[in-house]
Amino acid sequence: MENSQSRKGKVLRGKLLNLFCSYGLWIIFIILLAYFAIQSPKFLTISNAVNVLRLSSTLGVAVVGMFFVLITGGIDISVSANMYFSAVVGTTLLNNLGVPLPLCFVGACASGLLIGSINGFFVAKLKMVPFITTLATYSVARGLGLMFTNQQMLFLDSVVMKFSGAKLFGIPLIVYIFLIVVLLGHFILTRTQYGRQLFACGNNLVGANKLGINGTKTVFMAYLFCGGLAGIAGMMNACILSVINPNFAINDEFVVISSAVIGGASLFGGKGKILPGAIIGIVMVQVITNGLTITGASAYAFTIFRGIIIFIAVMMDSIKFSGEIR
Amino acid sequence: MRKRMLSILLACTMVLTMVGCGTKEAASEPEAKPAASEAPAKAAEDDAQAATDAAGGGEDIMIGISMCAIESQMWAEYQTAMHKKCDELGVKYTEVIAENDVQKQNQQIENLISSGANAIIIAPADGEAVVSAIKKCNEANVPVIMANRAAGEGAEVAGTVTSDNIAMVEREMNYVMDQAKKDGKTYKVIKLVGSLTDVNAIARDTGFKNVADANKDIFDVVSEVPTEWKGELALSGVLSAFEANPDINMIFSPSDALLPSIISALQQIDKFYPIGDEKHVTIVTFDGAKDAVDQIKAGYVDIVSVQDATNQGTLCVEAAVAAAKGEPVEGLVDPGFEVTPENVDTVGFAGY
Repeated sequence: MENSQSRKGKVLRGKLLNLFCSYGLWIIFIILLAYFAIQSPKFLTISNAVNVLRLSSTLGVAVVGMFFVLITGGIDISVSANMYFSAVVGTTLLNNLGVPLPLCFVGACASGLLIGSINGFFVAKLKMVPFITTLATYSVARGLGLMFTNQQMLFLDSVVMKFSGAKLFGIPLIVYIFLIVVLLGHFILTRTQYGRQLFACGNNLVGANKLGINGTKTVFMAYLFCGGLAGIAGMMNACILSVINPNFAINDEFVVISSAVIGGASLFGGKGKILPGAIIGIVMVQVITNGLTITGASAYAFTIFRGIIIFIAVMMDSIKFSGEIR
Repeated sequence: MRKRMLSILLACTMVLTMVGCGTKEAASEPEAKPAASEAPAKAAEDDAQAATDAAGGGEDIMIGISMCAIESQMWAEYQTAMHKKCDELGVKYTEVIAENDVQKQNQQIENLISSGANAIIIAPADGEAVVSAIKKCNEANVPVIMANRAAGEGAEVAGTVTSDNIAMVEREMNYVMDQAKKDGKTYKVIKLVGSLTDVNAIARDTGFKNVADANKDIFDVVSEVPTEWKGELALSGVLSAFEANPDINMIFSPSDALLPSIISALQQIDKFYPIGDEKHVTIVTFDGAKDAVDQIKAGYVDIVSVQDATNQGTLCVEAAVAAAKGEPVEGLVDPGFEVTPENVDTVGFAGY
């Protein structure tokens, strides 16, 4: 009798744990929303929702790229430096050569792709540890950026205000860019051969290679995507700010990586849904800052809140992972 | 095997490139040296006064300059002023830049000590964290001059060249208050705060509070935004604060480095109007960058308190030379001055 009760208890606990792992962050998210909504009537409004989306969009684009890399089981520390360097490249094209803005985005993206391809080459081809490799490119990219700008602030030509202020049906243009990138990323991961190969490589690279998947190429492409998207994110951010400070995007790699993990990408690789993960992840991080500012709380609470949420996300990731057999 | 060789080779190349970039501060040394070696000759030829200075032992003195980072126009001007004064006095100098990395700055200062500097000027990234390096300077009997930011407790410095941050912000706030009283206006304020490891950020915040807390009927601080001196956080903070309180009509920015992001945010929500317009958002800022002064001329920014970086850089070098000679160091507080729409044309300051 006792035995069956304890078994029941175990089953119940297992179920609760499972429930927590699957929906825990949603529950926390909803509690947070409710808390902020009670604190300030201005929080749960459509215009604030649009505001949060706008604030999420720039880094959100980089989060989509990070999903690809995390799915391979790797990590890309260089995103923030990549954003800085690419933004400097794009801005130089805009200011000094008078290149039209869309082409500046292409230039920034190309510079991001270059950094991504360097990461990809060392990680995929030469099998170097992603953390250290991307830390090295981080340092190089930021150093180059600082050298080009001579550590000075770089002001963008005023034409960018047209872009950053542009709205379509009352929603800022950059939000659409973010959503399009999310949809494209989702399409690549779920509907293409490459997407399936990426998950296979992330789950078991050796096995995937044995099945005839070109693991090197697949992983290389993931870093390439991440780099290119970081480049675009950097240029978007520069346009929104209309200036590039030497501390531009510094520490944003943590925001990007933690948003991806909060959004469900596994640090162990092989897992992650860009839709809705990338949106949920970055929006959750931005909602915390936004909510704390709106409710007039000591905004330094932000780091504590974010720390707790990242901790829970990583813990859930680990619990889920330990329950799997690979 | 071949692949492994290739990978080692490439890794080496990468590390070398990294070293090349990481020691960017070293790149400024070769630039500095020729300048320093030319200077005594020039000084002796042209300028009698500079020649006396140089003859007064300037030639034997080597000053170490440790910069936190050149993150705003203020620091760029500071740097230029120091170089210029060194050349003028015929003093050699070695400069290192820490890119706001506290640990790196401590190591760089130790390197300056071992390179035989007679005095070291430190513009710290963090006044507290640099204390251990200053202690090493004390042990080596190298006098230290703090540039712009004071050092934490526990270390001995020969002098600190600073702006009177608290008084400057108080003067700005009093100016805004006088205007408000004249027009019978009250303010809903967003207060931006700089990096909390920066003593100047704290001092400016204190200056703000001194006036705002004493006049709560005029200043209603509805939102406090920590920026860590980052434009991104200033922008998102301003946008979110306006979301909660669309009737905000004043922004306090503790540095001009944040000003472009604030203006960008205001433009995005259609709140950027000149003084006199009823939709105008009063902007109070600090430092004296060129774009801030330009915005005052254009009528969008109300007041900027200028820390005279040219003066401070010059004071630093003079103090360092005096300290190296064992002379007493004094007169190090830069009183600063304000630029407003009323005096912008007459003050003779265009920003740096």
